[in-house]
Amino acid sequence: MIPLFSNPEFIRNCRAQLRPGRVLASLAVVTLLCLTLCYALYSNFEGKREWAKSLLLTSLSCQLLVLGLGGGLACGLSIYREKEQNTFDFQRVTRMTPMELALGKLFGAPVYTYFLALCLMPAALVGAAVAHARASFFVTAMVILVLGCVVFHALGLLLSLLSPKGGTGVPGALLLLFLPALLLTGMSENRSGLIDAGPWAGVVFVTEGTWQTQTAVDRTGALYTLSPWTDFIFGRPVHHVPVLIFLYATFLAWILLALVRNLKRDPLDFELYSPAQSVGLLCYLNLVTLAFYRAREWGPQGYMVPAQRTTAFLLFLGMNLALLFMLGMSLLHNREQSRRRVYERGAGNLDWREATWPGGYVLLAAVAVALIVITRFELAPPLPGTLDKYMAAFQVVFLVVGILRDLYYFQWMKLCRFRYPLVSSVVFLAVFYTCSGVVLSTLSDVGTHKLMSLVAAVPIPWVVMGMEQPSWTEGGVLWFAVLAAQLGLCAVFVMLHRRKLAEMAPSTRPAPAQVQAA
Amino acid sequence: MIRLEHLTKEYDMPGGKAGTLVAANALDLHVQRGEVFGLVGPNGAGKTTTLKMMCGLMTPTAGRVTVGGVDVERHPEEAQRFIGYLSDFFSLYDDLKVWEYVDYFARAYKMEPSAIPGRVDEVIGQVGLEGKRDSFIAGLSRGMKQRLGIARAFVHNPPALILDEPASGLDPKARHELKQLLLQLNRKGTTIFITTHILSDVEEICTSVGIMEKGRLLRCGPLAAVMQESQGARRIRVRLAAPGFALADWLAAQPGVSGVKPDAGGAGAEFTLAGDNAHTAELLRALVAAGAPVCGIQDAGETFEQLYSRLSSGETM
Repeated sequence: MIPLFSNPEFIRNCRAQLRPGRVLASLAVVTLLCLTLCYALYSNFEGKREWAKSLLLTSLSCQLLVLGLGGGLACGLSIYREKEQNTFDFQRVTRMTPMELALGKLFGAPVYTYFLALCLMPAALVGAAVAHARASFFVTAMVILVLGCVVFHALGLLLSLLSPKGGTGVPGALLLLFLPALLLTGMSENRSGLIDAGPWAGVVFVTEGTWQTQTAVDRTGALYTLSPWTDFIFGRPVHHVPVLIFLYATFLAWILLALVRNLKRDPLDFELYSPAQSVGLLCYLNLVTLAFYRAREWGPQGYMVPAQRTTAFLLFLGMNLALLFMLGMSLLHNREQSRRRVYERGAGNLDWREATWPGGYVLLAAVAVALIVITRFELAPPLPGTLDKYMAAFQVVFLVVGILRDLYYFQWMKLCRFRYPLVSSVVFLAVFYTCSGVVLSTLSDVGTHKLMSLVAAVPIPWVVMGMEQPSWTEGGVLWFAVLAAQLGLCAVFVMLHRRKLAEMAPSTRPAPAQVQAA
Repeated sequence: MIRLEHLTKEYDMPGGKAGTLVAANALDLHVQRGEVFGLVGPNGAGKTTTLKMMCGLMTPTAGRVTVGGVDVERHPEEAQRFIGYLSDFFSLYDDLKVWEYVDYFARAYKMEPSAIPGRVDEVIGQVGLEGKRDSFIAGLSRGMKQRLGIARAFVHNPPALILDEPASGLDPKARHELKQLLLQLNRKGTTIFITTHILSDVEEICTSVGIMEKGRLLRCGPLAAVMQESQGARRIRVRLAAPGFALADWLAAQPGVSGVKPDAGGAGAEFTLAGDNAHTAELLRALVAAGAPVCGIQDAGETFEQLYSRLSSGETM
């Protein structure tokens, strides 16, 4: 592995972006702006310390904006621009490993914004010194700020890599991602215990931070936090800073994994994660959510009480269905990938594993996630309320089959000869759900409630999420008939997929001219 | 050095049309070390796709490519050690200086750091850009950029150079210099795989050729063998010092001779002779022995360009 300062891609970016003329001009402009800022703040604050605190916060905020927004845009455009200019292929044929290339771009593309952030550093240091900010707070703030921005930069690079040649939505997409992430900061989510998720936490920490974890016991006997710098992990208080750094580091690792996996690949063969990695990511996300989940909800008395079993069940069911769907979508094969597999096996040797792709991995992920969630709740103190285990199990199975049905449909459609197969299939499915929903709602007066929920579950499996105990009891064996209908629909799409694969088999073209090696 | 085994690339027809487009149809080819191999064919024959698969830029539908014995798909970084690649349409980093650009690729190919500065200057000199060493790439002419692209391709001394239309955009002088450079690299042992539309260049520098059309190799092998194999018989032209000898009649009476076409004035004739070089020598000996005042003989066969025009239908996929 080449060290960063010898990384050719990093050196190239430094040479191109940090020419002496540009560096001097930027330095002069930033110095002038800093002096103006100092003067403006000085005339607005009476106390020296207040002025310094304000200067410190403003400088750090500017650094965050420059690094986060500017660096994010630089990364979001870097690979995309190279693809447009036909220079990216030459990087792909060098001996740099994908990791070396990724790191070179991650720290090289936004190098100018790092320089601008450095130019702002004297103002921040002056502010910190005069405001008597603790050195450890200042260093921690910088670590959070830089690490948070690096995560955004990595995300920008990944989007840049995945955006097709000619696509222009990358900067916009990045901005949309960046702004909510900044807004997340300061939002207090009592249920999770994770207080400040964005890099702005670093800016706040430098002036309002503490290294103490502060907890108290509420009227139900549960721990709660008195400080925004205390989180609960599996019910135990932990300081927010290491939690934030851990989350940034792990998310950065997942993004880098996707980047490294695809950076030197043929774009037609992109695959965000391998099936095993995708299942791993799903398990990781569940573990993180479970770690912060405090199983609390607002009670009717106006204070927090332990969450009901059904609330916790539906929360994790909903979250995991969404994640399973995303996992399945990321694993779908395009025509090129399917054709390669068909060629590998040869004509007439299609196996069912290929025809039922990606069902196997979605089922595996569902089982793994179910085990993790069940184990966690079995180990934790029991939650109040009742949950019919049979009904819950049926809901899980039914909804997973429902997801599989849609995934098989998408896989089949992805192999159809449309200009934009995935977009077309999403539009068709949305139209199907909308029409089904409208038709079923007009029929609601015709049949009984039980009958209607049974009928509705065939086209729209999601209605099972809201299934109630009476509906489950009254439906009885009919629910299994509806499940069988779902499985039948899955089989239809698998057969259609298989037919598409058979069409791709090597045709009986005449043998190529026999040529002799030179 | 470069081996293609059953290399296949199949695409969907563009624009959602039915059917597939086979850009490379089960290609089998072996380019030996030290050869200059020219791949020719009309636009859309599948040459660039084949080259991209050889460099690992594109994943084949089936088959495999090995360069220097290393599978390009399985061990891409290892295989890149053996490959220098130049594509037909390319851009350079306009915000870098000429030496910085070459230096970047020398580092990216993981050359010994101490050897890089010397190698950068050497390569810049080889492509004739010494005077532009410290200039920004943005200010270079198209031909200079093309030469810089070539410099990038061989900066790491690769055993195999894969060049897609390297002479496009070059003026006649620069084209001549490029040919000399390629021959010079080849003399040092570099295997060169080149695609071009300039067929005279193929005849001048290539030791082996492949004629590709609609994803298939119509002919492939050493240039002389391809020419002979395709022609079957030789077309020869004989000139006499003075008219008087009944050359056309004498030739028509010889076995294996056909298509005799006498010159106006009777001082020469052109004819087709079936058979090998020994047969030609025997015929000439007999002609001189018959008293013909032979003063010149030349091969009047097809050029590679004529052969290519005859073999290729010019059809694209």
